[in-house]
Amino acid sequence: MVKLVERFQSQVFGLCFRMLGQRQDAEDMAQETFVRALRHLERWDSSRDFEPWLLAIAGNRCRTLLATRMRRPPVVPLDEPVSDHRSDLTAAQLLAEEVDLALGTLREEYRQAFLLFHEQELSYAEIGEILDCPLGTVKTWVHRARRELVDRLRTRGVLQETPHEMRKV
Amino acid sequence: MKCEKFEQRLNEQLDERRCWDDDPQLAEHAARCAGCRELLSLYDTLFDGLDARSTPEPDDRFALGVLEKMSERPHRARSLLQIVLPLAIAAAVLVALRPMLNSPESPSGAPNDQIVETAPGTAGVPEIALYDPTSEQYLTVIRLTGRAMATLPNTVRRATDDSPMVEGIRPLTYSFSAALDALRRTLPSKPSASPGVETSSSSSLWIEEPLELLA
Repeated sequence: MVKLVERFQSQVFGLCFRMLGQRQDAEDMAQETFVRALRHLERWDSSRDFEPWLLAIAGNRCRTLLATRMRRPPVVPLDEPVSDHRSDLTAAQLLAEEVDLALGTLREEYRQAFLLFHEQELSYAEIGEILDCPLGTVKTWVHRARRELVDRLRTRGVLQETPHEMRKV
Repeated sequence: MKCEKFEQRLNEQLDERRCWDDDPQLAEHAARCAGCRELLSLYDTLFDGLDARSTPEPDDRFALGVLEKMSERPHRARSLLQIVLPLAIAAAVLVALRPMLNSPESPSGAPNDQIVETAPGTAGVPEIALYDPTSEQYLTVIRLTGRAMATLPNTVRRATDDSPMVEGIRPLTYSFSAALDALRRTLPSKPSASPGVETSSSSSLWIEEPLELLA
């Protein structure tokens, strides 16, 4: 059982973290995902992969928590998030912070779809199953997220000096 | 290629997780268009920033936490259905068992307003009681009962008349009498019209005519 958890914990926790944006909540939901999956293992169709089934459970748990959060009064941040331009941060760290800030401005579903596709590297079909929406909708969300992030980086004047290079995204 | 088409094609490349440099048409357009070239640079910046973000990993005790939660008894909030359903089943069972519980053979000895004992000590033997034996209705019922009995095959009649009564089993005649008695109680005590004539009142349903079919 421990081996099974250790085999998939990164994927499940990563998904929860990207959907919820908070470490503690993500850990709770990831653990609950494993508990549910192990208790209802007989519901898994063994002719299909285990991971998508597990991630679908995680997605359901996270959506339930997000729905609960929405019913609660929102926590208003005292200050607008401001990038901390400390001199000890490397250029890469600063860039990561800028991207973090840009991600924070996105609509929840755009952000989730974008991160699940580009960071978690899930397929559109898998994301659709996790977020419980059609594949076309997921695609639209990811496209809009990309466009808004790029616009945000342009507005913030964040542009690497180096010319674009061959990369695999 | 127009700039709009360029972005659409770029999205297709990203959807397929392919390098955009693999597409010569994209490279060609970017070489000519400063705006689209900048767009490519922004995408580069975005994905570099994503790569620089630290990938979160769960706590070292994560698996242990799962095992601890597994050992906990699952706590479920009881839904309304879970509460109502057993009560509904219990009520249905009680309703279904009520005739048995109220039968004359019931050891509880609960009073029964439908079937009245003839005499103490003759359990299970009903009679037409609480009724004026001199009334026309009483006599009609008795007469009809006799006619109905006359229609039974001889073997049945003999069996009901002669066979010794097993305790707890009622003879057919008594059951028939009990049924007629119950039927009688649904009728008005004094028919407003002569027997066989249906009155305008819905409560006056003295149905001698159908019973006479038995004769």
